[in-house]
Amino acid sequence: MTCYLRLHELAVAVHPDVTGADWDVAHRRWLQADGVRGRDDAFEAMPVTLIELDDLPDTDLSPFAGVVLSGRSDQELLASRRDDIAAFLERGRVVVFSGRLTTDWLAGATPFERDGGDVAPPGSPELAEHPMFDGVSADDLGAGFLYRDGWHRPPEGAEILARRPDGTPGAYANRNASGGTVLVHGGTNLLANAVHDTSAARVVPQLLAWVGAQANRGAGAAL
Amino acid sequence: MTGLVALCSGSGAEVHTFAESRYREQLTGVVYTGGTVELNGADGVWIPEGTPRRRLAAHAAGLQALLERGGTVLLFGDHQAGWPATVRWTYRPAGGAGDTVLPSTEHGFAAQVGSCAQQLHHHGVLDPPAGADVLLAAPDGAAVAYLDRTSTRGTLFVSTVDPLAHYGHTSDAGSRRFLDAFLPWVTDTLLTGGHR
Repeated sequence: MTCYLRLHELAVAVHPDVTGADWDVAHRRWLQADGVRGRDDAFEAMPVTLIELDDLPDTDLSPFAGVVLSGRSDQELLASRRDDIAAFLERGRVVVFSGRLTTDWLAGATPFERDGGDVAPPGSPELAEHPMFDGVSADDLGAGFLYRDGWHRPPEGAEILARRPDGTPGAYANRNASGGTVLVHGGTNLLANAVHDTSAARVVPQLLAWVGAQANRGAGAAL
Repeated sequence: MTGLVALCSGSGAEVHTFAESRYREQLTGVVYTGGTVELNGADGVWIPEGTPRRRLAAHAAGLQALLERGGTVLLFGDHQAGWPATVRWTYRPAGGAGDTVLPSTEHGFAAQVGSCAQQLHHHGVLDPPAGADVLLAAPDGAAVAYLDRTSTRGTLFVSTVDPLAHYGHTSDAGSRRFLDAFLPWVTDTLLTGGHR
């Protein structure tokens, strides 16, 4: 597992049609990547466009189904774009965030609340029936999939996607009135599961497919 | 702004860590990398792992100037930003917690920080410049942390451990122990020139 190679610098914009991508090719590149260039090569084989986070304010997101953001994202910068991100969601698009929400930049999401820490029980997550987790073993995701020291309290009506070993929600999806969706995951970037040579890696193409499907069924502007 | 300054790139991990009083009290400033970075007068700068490469490159001249005037820079994580030019990093899968060794047992780092550093995993290894003191090494001898006091007038601490990320994201106890030992060593030894 690597932490920094590229993911934290990016907003990963998901294409509306993910069907043409060959995940096996991309996954091989993820497994072989030994630096930033290797990560970029892997992304090239995926149905995504990489946006340097610092370029986000000047980027037109309208062609994309959604964006996936890392826990190391600059949340001060994101907070300065709160209205743009809300407008993106109002068009029925998807924002996926893994990490701990410390500033109020994501409409429809809740802030990170600390609890537990080292005294929380370690263990694998409990996964909901969800396309992102098809064929994924909770044990392959392991104890690191969800933070032990805190969680995002799901808003009323949100779909719980994964629970921590103590039963508290660790990830949820929340759909707003216009069909836009936020997925909030209290853990390491979901895309980082691509570095595993286990069923955990399936999360990645299945997440992208889910993002595309959510955006295309939304009531917002057509993709 | 004398003393130790931390760079912050706005992530939850950084915001959480720098808000902790035990760490904030050891810093004279926290400077956001998304704007103008003024380092005038700082004795040392803590650059967290994961600092975006483009931002680090944008602020490289100021950081290099700080080293040239005898200041201290602390670097963590992977090193692919192209600065400092002396830093040569090679990828290895994350690992090595509990397996690293302390090559310079007489060094203050070994006494004050060493056992805490050994408990951390690392992200790749380093090829130190001639004259650098290797402080932490993989079992095969490859450097995981070193101190370079020869390339510039200043002091450059380079490592591939990532304590802020793990403390800031997961409140990891081992990372907390490292930071609790490391920052006083920096303040008491590196910033005062006591290592020379």
